[in-house]
Amino acid sequence: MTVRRKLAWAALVAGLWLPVTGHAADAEEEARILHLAKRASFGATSDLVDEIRRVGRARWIAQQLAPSADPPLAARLARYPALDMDSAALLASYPQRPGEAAGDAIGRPGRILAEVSADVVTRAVHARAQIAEVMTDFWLNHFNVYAAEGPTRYSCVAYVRDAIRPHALGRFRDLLLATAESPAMLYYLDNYLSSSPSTRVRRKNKGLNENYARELLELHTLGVAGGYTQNDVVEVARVFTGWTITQQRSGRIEHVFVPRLHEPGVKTVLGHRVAQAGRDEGVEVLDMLARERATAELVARKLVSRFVADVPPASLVERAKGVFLATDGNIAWVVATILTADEFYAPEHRDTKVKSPLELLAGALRTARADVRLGFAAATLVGNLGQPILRAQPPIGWSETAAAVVSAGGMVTRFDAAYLVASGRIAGVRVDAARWTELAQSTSAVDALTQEILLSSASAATRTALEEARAAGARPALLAALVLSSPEFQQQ
Amino acid sequence: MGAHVDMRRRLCLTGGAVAAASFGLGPRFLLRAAAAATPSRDAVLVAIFQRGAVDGLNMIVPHGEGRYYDARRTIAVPRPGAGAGAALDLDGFFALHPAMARLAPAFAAGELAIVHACGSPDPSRSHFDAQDYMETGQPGDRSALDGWLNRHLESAPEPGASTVRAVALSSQMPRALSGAAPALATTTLTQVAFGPPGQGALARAAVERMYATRDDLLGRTTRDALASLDVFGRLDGAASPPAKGAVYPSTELGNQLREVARVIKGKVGLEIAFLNTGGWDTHVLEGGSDGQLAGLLRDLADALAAFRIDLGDEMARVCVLTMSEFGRTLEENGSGGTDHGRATAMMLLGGGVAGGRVYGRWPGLAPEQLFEGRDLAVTTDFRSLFAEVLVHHLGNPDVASVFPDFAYDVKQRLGVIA
Repeated sequence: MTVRRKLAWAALVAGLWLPVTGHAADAEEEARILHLAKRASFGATSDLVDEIRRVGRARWIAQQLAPSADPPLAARLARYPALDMDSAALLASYPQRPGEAAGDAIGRPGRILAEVSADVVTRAVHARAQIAEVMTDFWLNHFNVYAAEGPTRYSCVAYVRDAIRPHALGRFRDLLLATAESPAMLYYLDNYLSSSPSTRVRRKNKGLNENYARELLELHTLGVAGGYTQNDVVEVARVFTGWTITQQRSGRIEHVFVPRLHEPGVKTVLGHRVAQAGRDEGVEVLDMLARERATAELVARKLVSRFVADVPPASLVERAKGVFLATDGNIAWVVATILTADEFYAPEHRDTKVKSPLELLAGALRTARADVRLGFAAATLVGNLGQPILRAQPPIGWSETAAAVVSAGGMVTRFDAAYLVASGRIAGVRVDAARWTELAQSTSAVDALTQEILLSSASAATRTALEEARAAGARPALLAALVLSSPEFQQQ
Repeated sequence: MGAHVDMRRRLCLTGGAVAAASFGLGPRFLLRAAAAATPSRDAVLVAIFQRGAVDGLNMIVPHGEGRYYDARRTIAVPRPGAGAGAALDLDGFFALHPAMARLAPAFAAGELAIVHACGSPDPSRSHFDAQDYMETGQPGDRSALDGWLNRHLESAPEPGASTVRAVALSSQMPRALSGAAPALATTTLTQVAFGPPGQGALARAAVERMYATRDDLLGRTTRDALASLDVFGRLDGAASPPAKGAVYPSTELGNQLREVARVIKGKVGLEIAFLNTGGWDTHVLEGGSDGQLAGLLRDLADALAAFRIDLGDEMARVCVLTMSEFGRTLEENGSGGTDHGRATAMMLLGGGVAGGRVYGRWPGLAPEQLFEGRDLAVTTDFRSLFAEVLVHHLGNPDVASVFPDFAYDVKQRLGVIA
């Protein structure tokens, strides 16, 4: 970090030391802490709120943006052996045998994605570095790949571990390059097959494939209104000819650049001349795209939408975009800008974002102080709730707005999931159900349960419903499930 | 014939509408009120969105054009009569992909119609923009939010309409059904309860109360969800296996169409069913008679054929409409697939469909006839097809509300609905 950046950090942190005087200010600060705990994590818990209160919001954000080691989490993740393997080890350990049905039994290729999905849920519930997990989820969606077919069943491990996670809070340009050269993306968006139409390589199919080029411009960088043309799509496709992957039968799935497949000659992208330079042409184009204003705008808008509101406040999008451009795409810096902004804490945005399936389930598990020993069943439940991990087919990934997340069938599934969590009926997950009994036995059982789960009091309608259910003989786990089913818990 | 079918939703002015008219409200209001006054309606539309842009040229093969064969070295479907894997001739010029053989009887019976070279007036080759445009019915307008099917529900309101009047078989509401009018998105039509065994009623009562007065998306959706459980619960007793001979493929689409047929047969007020199928973005190894696209087409055709047999006489009131955001390049690309193009083909299946014909003006495949020299040109605006279904199948004459900025000329209509 440069001295200039360090100074800027210090200024940012200093700006957060609010003069706290009197009860109103205390109450407002408490509300801000709770809001931050909800939005910058996979679910606020009383422990997390205490932690933020103890270190202060600014320092907590700074700590989260430069996460340190988390040995208890590492111990949990050791239960997913695929996550440490390279492609050769994965191919050897989870071989596809001819005629064998797919599936996620141990030793089958489908097991790998099951472990990756379980890893995502386990981290969401247990990681101390919550912002890093939120951002990993954000980027996995932004740079979506469908990981349940072909070689991506193997390369999804490296995609999450090596391409997305290390850069989730780093430089956008590095993240963009890491995805561009990842076997998972090269396969998913077909660039591995794109070759110069004039290549002299003997292969059955040769010629351009525009798929990656188009989505790179439309979804990863400039946005659909970002000012590119069909001709730019073709030129970018020419630039990336030869960016391919090794064949599975070689025993590894890795990115390689094959010069013979590369289209020779000068290309013109967005009016810029790209001199003939083989693989470097692609790197040059990614560098260029990462610095475009339209890219900064797209990333800023999506991030503000994720953290603040489905309809992102324009003033904050503008500032986040400015920070993106000024810091050459420093993601941590952009996130810090958002999480310290007045717009972020504005009362009208509090408790208004509907939780995504992963946010809902991980949040419920965190609230229930669950011990996720094996996250397979929990990850399957995230899929049942509508967003199976790494299995969005369209390149645009999942939409994160309430309108896309809320559905009638989905609400019923949420109510089912709430009961599975509260009653400890998810395989591989242990929940301390005795605590519900304890809370339900107190004189003000409804208050105790809502305070425990929502970290605040519930609406009159929710309280009445819970009181009636209690009077009608609802068992403690059902009462807890009902709090997890409440409209209050669906939002953050 | 057309005027006769127009009467399917009889336009009888009620006293209320006349009174409203006397307060100076415009004719569109009258139309809406008239539609609202329809005593009973039994038409069902099953819309199937082929997401990813289906290759219309391999689905409905223009075997009469030699250029089709010139442009597709490895993926062309052989001409009818060319032996195994040959396309199935429809009219001497077009042919059905051989994997869709189970749909051929419907074409022969005049219940399956094709509209070729159909697509959007907007040339976007972005899946997501083009899907949105087709679903909002407002091509080129990124600010449009609500869907054409929702505007239909809104412009033809039904007092006391069923909770399951409009259902999307999906975990998220498709744009086409998004909007002010109530619609349901759910992946299953068979779940009828939730909560722990023995305490399900208690759980339901509590949820009902928690969401009873919330006037927001969560509240409205949950209330609809609970009401729909009751409707599907009523169907439970009437749960009948598919009719004899109706063999649905064991796929997502097959299962969904089987559930939709069950709900149609249960007569619980379903008017619009919306289904998604994916995998049509065949950039790589699309295949010809066999292969990737063939597998998808077989699934679609087998599911639709089973649906038609399952519903039997009920098909008289049902129209299935397939759609896709655009078509694909005439030339195959460097990976044995096709890239994003322009026009595609859409299908209509139903008792009221003037089938057995391929509709639309064929633009030709010569370089100067192609859009931007590469793609099948659009000669039928998808809105004219959708509007015809709206007016002549669903009986809603209010095209102006459903497709704003689109001038629907009934005299120019395709005539694809009998």
